Amino acid sequence: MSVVLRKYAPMALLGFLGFLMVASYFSTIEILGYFSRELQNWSSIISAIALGFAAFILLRQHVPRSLKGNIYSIALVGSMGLLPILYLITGSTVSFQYNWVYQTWVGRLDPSMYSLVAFSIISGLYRAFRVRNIDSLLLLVTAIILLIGQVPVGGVLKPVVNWFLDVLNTGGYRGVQLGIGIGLFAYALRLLIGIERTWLSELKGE
Amino acid sequence: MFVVCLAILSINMYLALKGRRAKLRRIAGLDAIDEGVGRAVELRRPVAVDLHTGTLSTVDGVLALTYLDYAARKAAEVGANFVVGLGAAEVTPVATDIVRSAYILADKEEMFNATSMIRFISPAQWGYTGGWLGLVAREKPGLIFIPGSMGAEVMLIAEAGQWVGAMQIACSTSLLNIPFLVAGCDYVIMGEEFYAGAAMISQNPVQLGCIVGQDHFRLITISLVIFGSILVTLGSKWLSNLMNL
Repeated sequence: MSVVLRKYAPMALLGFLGFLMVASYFSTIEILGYFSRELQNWSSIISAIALGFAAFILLRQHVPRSLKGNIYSIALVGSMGLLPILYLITGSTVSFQYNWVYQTWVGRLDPSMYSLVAFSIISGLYRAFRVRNIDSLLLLVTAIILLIGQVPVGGVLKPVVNWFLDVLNTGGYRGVQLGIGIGLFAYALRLLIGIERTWLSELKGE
Repeated sequence: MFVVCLAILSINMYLALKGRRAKLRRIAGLDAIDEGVGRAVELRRPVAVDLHTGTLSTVDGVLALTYLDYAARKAAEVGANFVVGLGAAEVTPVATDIVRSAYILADKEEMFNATSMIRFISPAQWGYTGGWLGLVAREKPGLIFIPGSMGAEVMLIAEAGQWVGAMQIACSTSLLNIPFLVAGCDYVIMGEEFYAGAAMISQNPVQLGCIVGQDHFRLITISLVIFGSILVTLGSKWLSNLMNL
């Protein structure tokens, strides 16, 4: 494949489509809006095709491992096969069997994983709130005030908590958000005009 | 404001193209990548990058690939093993290409193994989290690099690395992620640094000029905020009405 096709064609395509999307946002011309909607539909279609491709890669990795007796790979391949098979048998994604598998397996595993967050927050807090210097002392004092202020017994601290949240916290957040907004704009510009092209990988840029 | 920002960035990029060199402060998290990769090699542990479920339809998802490229090159240079966890199907071939290129450029193509290095885990939030926790527990990486934003699982992801004694560097623009990452990681490239870091990695003068343009525009924005606050305090809504046009 020539360098033009490998390097310049994807860059030109990205730039053209990117500026088209920007123009459709700022313009009321109907044809631009139509192209914008079509492009977003195509994005969904490409993602769906890529998901099928990724499922193939996953199976290519785990089927050989399953044959060697790896229990986790067997579980993965089995799970991937089970729902499509149930769909083919029952002909519906709202059948009792299909829902039973989803609700009793996936529907239980997700909250189980979520519940683990509590333990990681405790261990994270333990490390974050160790007093090592004046900054961490300030963090600890602020956190204690905020924690006590959020429970009924700490109602007397509510004005202080609100001041921390509305003035200090919001001020800091807005400062960071301002930087993010400008940084995002500049990055998008670099991407669209083609000076940021890591996504092409070095070999394609030769 | 769109036109003003575009003009300022373009002027600065043009000046950089004409030879003006900008001096930028270093980002501690970026410098720590070299240190972390060296540490991983000394410990004979892999370098792990968590791309999470970031897709190519988000700016952060595309930007994460720049950091993936940088980490992969550094790992390939010193011959470190490399693992990428990802949950977006369309990112899989791009990430594979980037890591493969990094190892080819370092003349270590024989070390590249797509099956063991590129791990598509799951597009589901908690499915991915479970898979990543398992990967970290089994591989015990020396350096874990987390570019991009995530959801409620951020603390689990950050703590998983702490539990195996990995050095962790995270990048995020999500204001909901940053406090948790600061608590759980050794270095955090936060907010705008995430975007600026990509330009600093490239060392491309035009990209660095763009960072200078960002700072100029920020100064204008801050001036407008201060000026607008004074005007509103004095009872005039002229500037806020102008901005709302």
